[in-house]
Amino acid sequence: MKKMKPVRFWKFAYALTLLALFAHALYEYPPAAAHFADMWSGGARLSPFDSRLHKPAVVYAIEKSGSELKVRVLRTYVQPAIQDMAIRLTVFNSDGSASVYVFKQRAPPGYLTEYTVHAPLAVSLRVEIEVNGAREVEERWLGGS
Amino acid sequence: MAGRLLKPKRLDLDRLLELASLTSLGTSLLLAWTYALYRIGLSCPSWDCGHTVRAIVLPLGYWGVLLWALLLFAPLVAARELPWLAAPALALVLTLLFADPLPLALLSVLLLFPFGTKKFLRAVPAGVIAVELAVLAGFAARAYSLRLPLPPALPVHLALYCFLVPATPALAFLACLSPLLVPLAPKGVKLSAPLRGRASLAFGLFASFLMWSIVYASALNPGSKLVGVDAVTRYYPHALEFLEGGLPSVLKVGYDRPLHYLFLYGLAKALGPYDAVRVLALTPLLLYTLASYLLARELWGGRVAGLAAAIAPLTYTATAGLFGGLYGNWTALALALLACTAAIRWLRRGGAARLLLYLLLLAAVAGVHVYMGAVAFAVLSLFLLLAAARKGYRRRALAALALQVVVAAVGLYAAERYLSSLGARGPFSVTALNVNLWLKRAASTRLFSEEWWYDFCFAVYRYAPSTALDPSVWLLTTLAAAVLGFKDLGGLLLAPWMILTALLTFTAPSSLIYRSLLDFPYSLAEAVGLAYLTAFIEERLGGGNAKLWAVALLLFKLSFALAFAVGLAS
Repeated sequence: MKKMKPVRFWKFAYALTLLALFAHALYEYPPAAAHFADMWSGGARLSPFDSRLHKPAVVYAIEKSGSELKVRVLRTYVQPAIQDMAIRLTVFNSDGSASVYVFKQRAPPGYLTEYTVHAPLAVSLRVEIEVNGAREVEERWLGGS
Repeated sequence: MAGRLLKPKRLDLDRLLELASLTSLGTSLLLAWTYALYRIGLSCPSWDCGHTVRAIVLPLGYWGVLLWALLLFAPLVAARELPWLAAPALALVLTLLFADPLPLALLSVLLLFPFGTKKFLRAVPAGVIAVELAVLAGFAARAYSLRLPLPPALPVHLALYCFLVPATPALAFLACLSPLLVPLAPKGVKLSAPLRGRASLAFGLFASFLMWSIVYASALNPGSKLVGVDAVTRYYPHALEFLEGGLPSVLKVGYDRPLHYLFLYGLAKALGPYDAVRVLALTPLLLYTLASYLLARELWGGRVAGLAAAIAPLTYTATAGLFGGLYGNWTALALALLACTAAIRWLRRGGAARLLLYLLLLAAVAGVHVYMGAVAFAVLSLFLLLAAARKGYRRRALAALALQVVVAAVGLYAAERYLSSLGARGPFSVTALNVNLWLKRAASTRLFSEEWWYDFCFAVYRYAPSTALDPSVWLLTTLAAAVLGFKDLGGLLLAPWMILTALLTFTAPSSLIYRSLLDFPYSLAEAVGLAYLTAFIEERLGGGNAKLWAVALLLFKLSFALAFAVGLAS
């Protein structure tokens, strides 16, 4: 049976100690980093064949959770320059009323942004996106009563 | 005769075809990688007129998938891989049938079988070069209002590093602890830079100027508004104050950076306060590039020095420096590198002039930025102590150390007396105040707890918004610190420097963590890391591949840094 050289043994012991130190140091890292997860978890996807990806901006996802309505908008990569983007959300409620929300911002290519509005009675939604004069309108039925 | 004349042309054509085939294979591989990240639903944070989360999407369309199939077809034709020739067409049909590019992505990876791993390892950097050139052309179009028909290559560039974004704080942390890896690093490290030193230096100086011109002389910033936190909140109002109050106000306001403020005062007198601050941003960019070159040349020769110069304007120091407007720290860091160069020349060759130059430069570092002066003093003291333990350097190292302690003591005493007489705060009180603040924070810190990690993550993701997200900074630095160890003078300098930076970073208040990370000269460590990596590639895959990888990495870093500069100026 081959004997382990002393240098190799110390190297191995040192590597194990170091591994334990790193494991101890990094143990609390994942829960702390999870606070920033919205930076890298884009979530929903569009088909690469979706022709809307060749328009200035598209509705990426719409999600209704409880009384909150979340609308994710993607400013596509079509134009390389930063552009002015205006979003107009019209929420149609089950009681026949409608609420309008307007957001304006500068949007660089690839920009993924989320707008959250309080809309407990929302049944349908119209999203109007205007990027440097070009206008896109999308309407979605949200279900419910 | 005719044959001789024709032969080189034929060879060139063959090489060109080979390069085109590699590029097309590499690009299709990168498309497959981007597609994989898109399937996972990853996005990438960046800075573009504010914090921006970018979606990783492949806007392929029908023309896009056709192009992808052609990219796969071209290398198969060039390599005369007849049994595989129908595969791209089949993958294209399946892609159109399922309205999903998965078949094309799978085929990109499956081509590993006919081409082999070696060709793949050559194709990847060729693809990266093609993608990054397209990305750079896109930034040029945006910065200088050019109308160019360009493919949307930015998502592919983002896909190269966004998968490491969740781990970036951990990578930065690992880089801080890299001196601990020294005993595990391989012995007999060889450094080899495949690019010519002078050419890389020219690239570095050009990139430095480009970074500055994107921020201050491009269509993105037509009014040349001031960019960077300190540029707006510190340097411009102080420059106005100096013009009103004259020289005494320079020392009163700039007690923690008197020489830097004297320089600003001179610039403001000559150019006006607005242009003075803009020129102030260019100074550290150029000086840091040049200083990185000179120190690396002294330590590891011209070729590694060229890499250091090429990396200097593209590393964390430059992006975070431009964002924070930390021109004082940055200029002082550049001067500290020059002081190190003088110190190493003194250790190797002697000469009173070199020793004097070293002491003067070290004093200048403290004069330009007191905090960086203290860091440089501590680093160089440790370096000289370690060098004194080596046979050839003992006498000169101890002489330099003794003299620098005397100069520092006399200088501090004189500065304290003079500044106090002017009613300004002296270096002792500034140091005492900072040390107290730091100690309070250090005492209340529970190292590696969730709160501590939250602060560290916040510093990496938010305080230094996206500037720290280039993973090559941390990976190459880790590699360099580990392989250099304490073997040569470069290792003796960088290892204690990293240990000190780590100590300061780990105990810093949350708002100062990203600034503490700036204390280290990443350009040098990254150059060594890259030189080690290219030596490794050269040994296994040949010199041509090493060159491809080096160019690909430099172009990636250029794209990352320019993307940040473009976003900063917008």
